[in-house]
Amino acid sequence: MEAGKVLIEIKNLSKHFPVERSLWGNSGGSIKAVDDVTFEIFKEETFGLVGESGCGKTTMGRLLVRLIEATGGGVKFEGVNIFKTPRAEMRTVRQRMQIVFQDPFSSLNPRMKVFDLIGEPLRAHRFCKGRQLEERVYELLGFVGLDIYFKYRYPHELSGGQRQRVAIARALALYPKFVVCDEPVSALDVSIQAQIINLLQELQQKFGLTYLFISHDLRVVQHISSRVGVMYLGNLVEIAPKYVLYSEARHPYTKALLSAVPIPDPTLRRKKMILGGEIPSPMNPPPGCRFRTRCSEAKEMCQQEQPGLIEIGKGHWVSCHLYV
Amino acid sequence: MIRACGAKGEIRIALLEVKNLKTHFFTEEGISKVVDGVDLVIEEGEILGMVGESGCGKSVTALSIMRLVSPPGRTVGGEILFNGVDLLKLNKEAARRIRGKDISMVFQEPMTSLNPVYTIGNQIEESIILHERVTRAEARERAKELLALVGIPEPANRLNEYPHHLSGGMRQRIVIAIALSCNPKLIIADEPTTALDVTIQAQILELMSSLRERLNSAILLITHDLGVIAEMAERVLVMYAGLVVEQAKVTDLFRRPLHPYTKGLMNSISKLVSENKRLEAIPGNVPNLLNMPPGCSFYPRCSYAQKNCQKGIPPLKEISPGHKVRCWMHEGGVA
Repeated sequence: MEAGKVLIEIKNLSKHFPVERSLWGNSGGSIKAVDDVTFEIFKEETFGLVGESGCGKTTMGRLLVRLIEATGGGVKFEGVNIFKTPRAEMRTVRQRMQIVFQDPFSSLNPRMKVFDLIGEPLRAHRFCKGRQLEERVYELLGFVGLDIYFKYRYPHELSGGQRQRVAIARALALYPKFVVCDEPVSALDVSIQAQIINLLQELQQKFGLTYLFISHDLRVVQHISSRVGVMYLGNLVEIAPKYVLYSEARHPYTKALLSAVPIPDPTLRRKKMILGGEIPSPMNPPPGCRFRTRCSEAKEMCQQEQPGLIEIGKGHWVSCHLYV
Repeated sequence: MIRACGAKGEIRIALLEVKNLKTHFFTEEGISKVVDGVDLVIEEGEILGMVGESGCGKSVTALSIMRLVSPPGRTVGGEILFNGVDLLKLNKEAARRIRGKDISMVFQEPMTSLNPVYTIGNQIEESIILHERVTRAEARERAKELLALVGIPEPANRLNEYPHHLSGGMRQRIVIAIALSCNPKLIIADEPTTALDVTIQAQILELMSSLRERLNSAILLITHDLGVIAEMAERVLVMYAGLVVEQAKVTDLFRRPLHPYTKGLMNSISKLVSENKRLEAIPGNVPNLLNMPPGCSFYPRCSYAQKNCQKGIPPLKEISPGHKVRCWMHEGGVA
């Protein structure tokens, strides 16, 4: 991949959550939520991260803005390893990286008015105050398509879509470069989803933002992303430019995932590739390739060795023994 | 009762006929007309899809058919004819005999619809014993067969396990097994796959269609996902603000959506083959049911709206055989 355009470099990143000793004494082990993942995010692109629940995509998002500490590997943001940055300096770095959460019902403090919610990051980072702060808040309300009179409202007076607009305004307050969008539209109705997706795309163009767009919805990811990574049990199994991934997916998991998406066209009822079984526990993933227990093309080799990511076409990376 | 408009053209018999159903919620802030005049017909063995966004009244319609609406909600009008009998006129005991036997329900959240302190076997046997004269042992045998039917491996061992031992997909299979336990004529599935991952959703949807073919139960499939509708349903109802706004065969609905809301919904979703263009979002929000706009309830968000749309609620008018729409545009020939 071409350097220079890279905004974030993720190298051998791992996050293992220790499992506490429980009442029944089964101790030890850890959940390998993210396990040895390496990839890059380019400037001003939208990197879509898809996968099913428990695959580690949310953990990945939180690691990239250092809301949680990694247990291995590193993340370089504009060339600086954020896990080696001292706490005090981290505050400055944080201004440049923000996150929008899935559930706007729980991510906004119910006791704060919209004005204070959007003004909070400005105050916390001593960005501005008084008249200036007020103007910045109005400007942000305008960017996300809310009228100024919304400043007096509390979150419970807003609809889901309006709350998500407030969350986006908060994230943009400090002129960030990079925004992690963690399932930003999953809690919203379809007609409102489209409004928020359009808004995110407009804002990206206006401010040159880079997004990590995390979602379980392959249709939404296809719409918004420039490149897509597919996660399975803590690993990235395939990375490709969007058009390549959706037309020439190579990894058997990606193929099955794409085939499982219901297509809103009754003339296209097709035979699906239905994956048998379920995702194994991330505490005890199968040795070798993690997908082999559900893979129809698994070979003997898949049991022994975990495949690494290899580039099979320009910018198209697959982690599967079929393509070695 | 006999209608000549089955999806494949053959004569089918109306199994359930809902006429002008009204279920209102009497809250402190006022009366919320969540379901306000819904008509629908389900024929024997068909899959009828019901699509709409949150708050449009899909779930409350389902609960009303099951007679499970609880205060402050109350069904205040209409008829629900099941095999010719009005369910709303039955006493509680008679309604209970039908619920779970002839009509059963699959809920969205398999974790909350199963009782965490009873074994899976217990919960399946419960509904069999309640509705049929069988011994415990016979019920257990049936439960085992049902688990095998819904594709659960090692059914005999699973009977003694608790819901928390199982994954979401497996739990939803159990809920389906319970729904099937007394050979229902109608299964109401309210967002049965919404809480599941796509690959598991594909498994459950395939299970439902294969079971439907084998057992010939009709299914009322409620979902917000037009993709699921396109893959499963034969006919579709589109709901908005407590009313059916469009009704059609699934192919007609996707080929030629008539109601501006249906069109908006279809443009809001990106298809797996679309370009990177802007989505055509429907502006605004779903109206507050306590404070409904006069006339057509979609009027404030509609891009085709005209002044006279506010003059009253448009009737559901049949435009072509089986294709009905509730819109003034198709009423006065404005379009």
